[in-house]
Amino acid sequence: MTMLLPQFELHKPTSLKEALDLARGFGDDFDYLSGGTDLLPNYKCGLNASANVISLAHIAELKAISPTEIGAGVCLRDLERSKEVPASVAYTASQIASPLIRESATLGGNLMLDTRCHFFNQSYFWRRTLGYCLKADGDVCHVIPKIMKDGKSVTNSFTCVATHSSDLAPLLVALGASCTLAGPAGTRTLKLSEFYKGDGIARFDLQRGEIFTKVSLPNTSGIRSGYKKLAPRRSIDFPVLGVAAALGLGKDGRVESLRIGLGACETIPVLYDFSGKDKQAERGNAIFTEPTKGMPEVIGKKLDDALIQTIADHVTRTAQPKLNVPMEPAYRKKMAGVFARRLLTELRS
Amino acid sequence: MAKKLLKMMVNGRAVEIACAPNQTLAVALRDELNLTGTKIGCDMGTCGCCTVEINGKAKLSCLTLAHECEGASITTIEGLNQYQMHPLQKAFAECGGSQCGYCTAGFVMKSHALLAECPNPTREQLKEELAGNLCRCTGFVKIYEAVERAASELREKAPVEPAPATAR
Repeated sequence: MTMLLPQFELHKPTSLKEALDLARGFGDDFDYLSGGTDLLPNYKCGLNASANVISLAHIAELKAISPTEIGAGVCLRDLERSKEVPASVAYTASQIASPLIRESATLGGNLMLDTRCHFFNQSYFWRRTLGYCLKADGDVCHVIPKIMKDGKSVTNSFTCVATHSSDLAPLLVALGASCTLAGPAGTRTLKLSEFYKGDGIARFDLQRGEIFTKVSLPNTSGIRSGYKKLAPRRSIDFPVLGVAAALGLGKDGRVESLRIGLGACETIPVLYDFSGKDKQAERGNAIFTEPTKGMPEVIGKKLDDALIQTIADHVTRTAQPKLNVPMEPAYRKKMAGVFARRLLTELRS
Repeated sequence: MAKKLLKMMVNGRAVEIACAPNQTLAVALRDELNLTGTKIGCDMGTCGCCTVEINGKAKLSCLTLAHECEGASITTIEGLNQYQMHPLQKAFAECGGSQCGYCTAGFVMKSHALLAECPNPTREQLKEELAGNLCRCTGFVKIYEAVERAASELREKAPVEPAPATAR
C-alpha cells in the first residue's frame, strides 16, 4: 500500500552554515532530515509535517568518526562495524531496528528519535476516529487522561508522556557523553543527559534552527559498559525497555563509579548516577521519575550479589514505564531490575 | 513543489526522471521508470519488500526520497538478470524460496548486497542480515537455503578468500 507523503520542498545544503542559513529563513516551518527512517514514516501518517525539509545527508562535516567523537551523520551500520568506538556502542548500534534501516539511519537520528506512543504513531484515519492526541492535532492525552496538579485531579492537556525509544541514548547517557549543537548563534556543548527534557513534545534542549552535530565520549578506559534491550521481536522492533550500565571497578572489586541509563520508559533516557555528580532529576525536567530518591550507597562498596540485587531493586522501584508502547508496564518495570542485575553480573566478571 | 529532473544511474543505464520532492525512490522507480519489480509492501520501512541497492548498499527505497538519490547508482531486481537469471534468482526458484513472490525482490536484493561483502555467510549471519525482510509464506528456511546455494555457486564462479568472521 502506498502511503502518500505530504507536499514539501526539499533542500540539500552541503555545509552546516548553508543549512543554518536555510533554516533561519523558514521560521518554525521546517524539519531536518538525515536518514529519514524516523521522519518519513511520521510524515506518511501525517504527523506534524512541515512545508520545508532540509536534508543533512550531504554535509560531510557530520560524518566524521573517531574514538572520542562520533558525528551525528554517521550511519548506524558504520557505527556498528567501527573498531574505533567502544565495543558497547558498536554492539548497541547493532541492536537497533533491522540491517536495512541501519544502512540509512544515523546516530543523530537515533538520539533525536521522535517520541513514540500507541495514540500517536498511527495513521491519520486511526487518530481521527479517536479525536487526536496532545502530541498531534489534539488537546488531551489518552495515556494519562487525568493527572494530579496542585493536589487536584485535572484533565491532562499539558503533559505528553510519549516514550523516547532510542537504544543508543541510555548507553551514551550512562557513558557520560556530551553533545555539540551548532546554531545560528554559534556552537555549544552540553551533557547528553541534560539535552533531553521531560516532555514528549518539546523533547530537547534545542533552540530554533540548531543542528545536533556530534557526540563526544569521555575517556572510557577502565569503564565496563553494556546494554540490554527488550523488544517484542529481536529482528526489528523499537525497544520497550533498554538498560545500559557503565561501571568502574577498582582492583579489589569495589565500585568506583556506576551509572545506569534506562531507556524506553520515559520521555527521556533516565540516568541513575550512583556517584551523585550528574543530578538529572534535580533539574526538574523529568515528569515522574525520581531516580535519586532512596538511591542506595554503592561507591566504595564491594560489588557482590547482594549489592547488585539492591541496585536492581532500586531500578525496579523507580522505573516508570507507561502503557503507550507494546508490552505491559508491570512487566517492563520488573524487567528493568532483571536486566540491571544481569548486566552488572556480566560486567563484574 | 515543482517536479525536477534528476539524473541517476539505474541498472547501469543513465536515466533522467522528473520527480516531485515528496516522491520516494520506490514510487519513482515504479511509476516513472516502470521498474515494477520493486514492490511496495508496508511503505513504512518494516517489511523490506522495496529493498534496492543504492551505491552498492541495500537500502529501503520507500524511506529514501528520489531527490536524495540524485547522481546515485541504483540497482533494482531488473538489473540482476541482464541476459540470464542471476544465480540468486535461480536458487530462490529451485529451493522454493518464493511462494507468492511479493517479498522476493527485496530478499534477492538484500542477499545480493550481502554476498558482495560477505561471500560465505553462516546461517546465523544470514538470519541477522535478512532480519529486515519479512516473508509471510515460506517460513524463511527455504530462503536461507536458497541464499546459501547461490552463495556457493557464486563462490565457484569467482573463487575468493573466505571472509573473516565479523565481530558479531
